Amino acid sequence: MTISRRTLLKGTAAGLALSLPALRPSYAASEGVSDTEIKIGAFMPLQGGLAAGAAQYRDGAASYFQWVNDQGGINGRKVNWIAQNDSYNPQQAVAVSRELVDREGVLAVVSTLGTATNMAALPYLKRRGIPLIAPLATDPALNTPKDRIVFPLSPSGSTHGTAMAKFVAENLKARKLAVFYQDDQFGKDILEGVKTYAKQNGLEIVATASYVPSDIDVSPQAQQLRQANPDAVINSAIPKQGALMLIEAEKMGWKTNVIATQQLGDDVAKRLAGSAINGLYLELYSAVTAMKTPAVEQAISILQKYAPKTPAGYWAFMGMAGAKAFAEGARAAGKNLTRESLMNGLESLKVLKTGLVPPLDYSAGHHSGPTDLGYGQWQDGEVKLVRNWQE
Amino acid sequence: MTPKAIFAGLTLLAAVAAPFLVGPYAQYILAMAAIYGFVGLGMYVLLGLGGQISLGHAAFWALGAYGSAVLTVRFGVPFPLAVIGGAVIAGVFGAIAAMPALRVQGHYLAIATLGLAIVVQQVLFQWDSVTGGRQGMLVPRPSLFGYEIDDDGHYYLIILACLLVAIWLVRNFQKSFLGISLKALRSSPIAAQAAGVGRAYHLIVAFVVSAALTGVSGAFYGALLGQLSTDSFTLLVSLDFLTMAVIGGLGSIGGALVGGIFYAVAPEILRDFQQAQQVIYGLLLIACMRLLPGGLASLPHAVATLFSSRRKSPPENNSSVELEKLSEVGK
Amino acid sequence: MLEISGLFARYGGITALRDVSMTIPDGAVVALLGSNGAGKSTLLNSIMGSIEGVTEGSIRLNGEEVRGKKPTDLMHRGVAMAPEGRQIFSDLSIDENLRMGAYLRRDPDGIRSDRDRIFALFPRLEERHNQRAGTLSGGEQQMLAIGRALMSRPQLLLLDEPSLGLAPLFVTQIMRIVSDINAGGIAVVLVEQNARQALRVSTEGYVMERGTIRMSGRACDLSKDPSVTAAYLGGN
Repeated sequence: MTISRRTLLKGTAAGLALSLPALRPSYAASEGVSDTEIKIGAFMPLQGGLAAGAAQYRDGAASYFQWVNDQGGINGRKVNWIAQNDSYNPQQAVAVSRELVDREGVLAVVSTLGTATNMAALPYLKRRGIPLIAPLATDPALNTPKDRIVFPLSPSGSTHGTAMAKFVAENLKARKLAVFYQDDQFGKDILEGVKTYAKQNGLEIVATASYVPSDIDVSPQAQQLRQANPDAVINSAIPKQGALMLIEAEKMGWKTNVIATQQLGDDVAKRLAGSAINGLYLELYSAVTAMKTPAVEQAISILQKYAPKTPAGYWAFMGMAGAKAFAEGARAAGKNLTRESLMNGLESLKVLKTGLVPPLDYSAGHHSGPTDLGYGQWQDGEVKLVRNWQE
Repeated sequence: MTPKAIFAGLTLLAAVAAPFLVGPYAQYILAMAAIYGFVGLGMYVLLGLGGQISLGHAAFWALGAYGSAVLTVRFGVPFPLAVIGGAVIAGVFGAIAAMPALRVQGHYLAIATLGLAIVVQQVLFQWDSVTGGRQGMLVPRPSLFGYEIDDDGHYYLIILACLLVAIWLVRNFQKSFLGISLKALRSSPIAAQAAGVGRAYHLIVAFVVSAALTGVSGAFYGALLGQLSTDSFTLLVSLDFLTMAVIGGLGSIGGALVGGIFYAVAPEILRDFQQAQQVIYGLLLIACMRLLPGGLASLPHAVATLFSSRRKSPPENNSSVELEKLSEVGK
Repeated sequence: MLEISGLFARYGGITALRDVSMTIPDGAVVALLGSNGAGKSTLLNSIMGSIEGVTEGSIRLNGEEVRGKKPTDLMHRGVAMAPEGRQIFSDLSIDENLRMGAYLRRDPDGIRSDRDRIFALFPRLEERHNQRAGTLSGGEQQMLAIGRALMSRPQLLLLDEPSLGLAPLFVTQIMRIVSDINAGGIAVVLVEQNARQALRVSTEGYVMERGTIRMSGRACDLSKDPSVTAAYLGGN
């Protein structure tokens, strides 16, 4: 193809003239709702390092939607949930979001997974006014959001810290605390939560030690924390270093109360830490099978029916909790389902109880993830429930 | 008016009218096609005119994208200037990539570009105080004279206007003495150097122009997507660019643009094939090299010659030289 | 014009030229004969500075030592070469090819008049001046290669096997053109396999063998010499 200079100039002028009267956004009218179907979607790392967890997370949400559809759907409409891979690549999460919104025309983005990916997609979703329901991620913008479109699923970093400090203070009578945390925003947010609670309740933080995710030896940190002789250790590490810390303590013969996040509540952590895991307390922001509540029993039976190979645990329960939150909101929105009415519906519930995660605060003007968490303890290689969250 | 001018005019009319006829997702794809058009032009200058293969164009793309994003986010540079800034940064690295041309011949240069691409990607990944590293980097919507361009259709028209300018510049470049010398160098390095053409100088110029065009593309791309992560600028992307150029056609600017459109649209058409997409690209690449050395852009001509066996005028472009080089790289 | 003495050339451990001496007077046509691999092309490349190995000895151009200089330096000093194998720019038009020949020149008027002169010499090229050079026939391509070399307005033209692979009719034509060029005052070094034709248009001749000068003399004497006749003129 060759273009002469004159044609080029003419064309450019024509293009500019044509575009002038149309200087306004022109978005598709479709909001993903037909008489028979509600189209929603999600992005998650179905390939890459987190793929195993992401697959269980997807199965949890998908099986719940299947169950809802078999029960007749939501106000007569079947849910079509499209879960797409983002390879944990933030840029790809944005591309997937665009596809979901502009190409598929989804009503909302529901049950996503990944902090960086959700943060990346957020500006785009915000611009397009697409509700982001139940992102499994840890960042204030997603846990205690300012944007109305965000309906959180998980607690903020500082909530984790506060909840763990509160438990050791109230249940184990600890006054002197030590904190083991990851040297980044994730770890520092938790440390901040511990500090806030300690300050308000007159507790003393006698030692802190940090690690980076590539560390393979945490014995100096273990020594350092032990020398401060704390009443309880808040081990907020990810499974690998969290387990290493437990093993170091066992090797040193250091017996103390330790509480960790729910990240150390699954079989992976058990395999990493071995016998050292027994006695470890956990904060719980997702259901465990030891909770014999009706919601948990129902979740297990749905999973058994629609995804029998998927283990009932953290990932599946989290995925299902997001699906349940959406279903509740859509039901409350009534027959006239739009993005606006969906958000109104969710907000009308004020406090959303899924039974799979602690109650979520969706009241208008104030969306937030759970603040009151449950607690468990590893005993004989199993997580036993110490105290459930308040429903 | 010649048939060629009529065809060009109609194409342009269609390109300008397109965003008003389609929905937002197709507008986004249009914008991507125009963005890849710049990469196509860059590949045309380097490979089509200069006969040089680059395995590192993803790096220039990334430098344009990150460069312009850092300029807007951290230094408050207005978007149009940031795009130019991205082009300059990419162009400078283009010169660096071509430096080995002063010493090495043939395919070593392609391998050097591969090295540069890996280094650039790693640096962008590790330098997280500036680029956000693993978390990636948020890029604000493009804005023009203080107005945010919220609509992809409008953004596309702006990119298209810039693309037309770029086409005009590349056309002039290839007709200039510099462009002719570059082609001469590709056509016969021995004779060109015997005539006094400086090989290294011309290759560096080709690399700079090509990298800068790719940098512009990257700058537009980042602002369109709103998010950058280094995972999206891998070797695979460099190879995709090469594939795109060959499938579109190396012999003409039209081929470069067809390649860009192909690369933007093909994933949408091949969506249902998922993992097999790369395999299909590979097969298309081989098919193009064997059956259609002029790329998709030469398809009308190829069909015409097929039906009129008497008309045996040779095609205007001669891409077989580059294709030979490409196939040698594969060995 | 050109004075070569005691020239050695080596690359990759091979001595390609051994103690070569040769004189090219102003306005002469010197035929350089010899079998494949005798070192003829190496000698031209050594003169032009486009050899990949190292050289020793002396190459004096109009009294100035030019051994080891770059091709562009030689071109600036009025030496041009049409390399072996018709190294034309097949993707470029004939006009563009000729323009490339004048790469180092900055006199548009002179370039234009030289181009017209070359078209007068090769009318076939003028007819097709806008076509891609790759569409030309073998003989026409050779004419273009010579024409391109002439575009630098040389005093000394090095022609490396201009008749290689051409039909006999073309060979005769090329030889006539060599004479025409020489008539314009340009000295020519003509590397040829076709010794009989080459000697017919030359003033002197050199015969090379395994990197050395085996024999030299006036062209008319060489063409009568029985040993040359036996080796290179098909024993006629």
